[in-house]
Amino acid sequence: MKRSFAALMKLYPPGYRALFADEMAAVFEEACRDHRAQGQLAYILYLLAEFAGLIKGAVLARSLGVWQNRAVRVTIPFVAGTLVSVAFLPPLLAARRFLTVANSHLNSQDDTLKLLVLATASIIVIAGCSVAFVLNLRSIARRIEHPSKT
Amino acid sequence: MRHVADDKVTEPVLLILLSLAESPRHGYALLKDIESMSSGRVRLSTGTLYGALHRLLANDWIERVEGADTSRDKRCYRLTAQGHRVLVAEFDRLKELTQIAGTRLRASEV
Repeated sequence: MKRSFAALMKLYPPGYRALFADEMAAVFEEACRDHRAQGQLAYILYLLAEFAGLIKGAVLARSLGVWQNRAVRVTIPFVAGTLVSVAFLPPLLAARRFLTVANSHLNSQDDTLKLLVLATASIIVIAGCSVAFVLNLRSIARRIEHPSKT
Repeated sequence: MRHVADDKVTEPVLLILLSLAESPRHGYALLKDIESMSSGRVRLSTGTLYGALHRLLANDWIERVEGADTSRDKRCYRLTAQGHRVLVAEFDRLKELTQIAGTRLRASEV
């Protein structure tokens, strides 16, 4: 059992292992001794719960470690922002086609000016939506890190 | 370890703080005390216990101290002044909630 415990401990991040591995192994040994004295079934049930708890703890410790990586925290909003921008591409291409067709029917300088104002306003709205989306992602990230502060 | 700070007071965290409020304890003593405090309802696994201790150390709510047995695998944990304040605040919150629950339950019985 000691070997299985040590193998599961390898799932934890190195810093965590350096801090707690010896203590955790000592607690596990003591608890094993106690549960063995309570009978075979109690011992097996304890081992199942213990190993499940170790795996869950390792996943939590690892996921926390990944999220604390600054590169990951910057990359996730960036990738999400890019995906949102890609979603805006088809309407932009359609608008460009519309502008090309409209250009051939333009009669005056006034019509051209109106179209330019419309295009600029659309770009500002799209950019605003993208910025709001990324800011919202950052606030979600903060909430994940400090759930009780928000 | 400040980077893993998370100031949520979950049930395991509350039980650990309560256990350490009485006296400094090492890992296994904490597990046994928590089990006895909750009348056997809460049985923390080693992974859950040390995950919670890790967060509590990061929050400076507890600290590691040298116990009578100074071996590396028998380190004791003690409540800090900040941890004590958090525990008192949580106790006040629960007391208030219990009072509200009592009032409402009595009202529903009438």
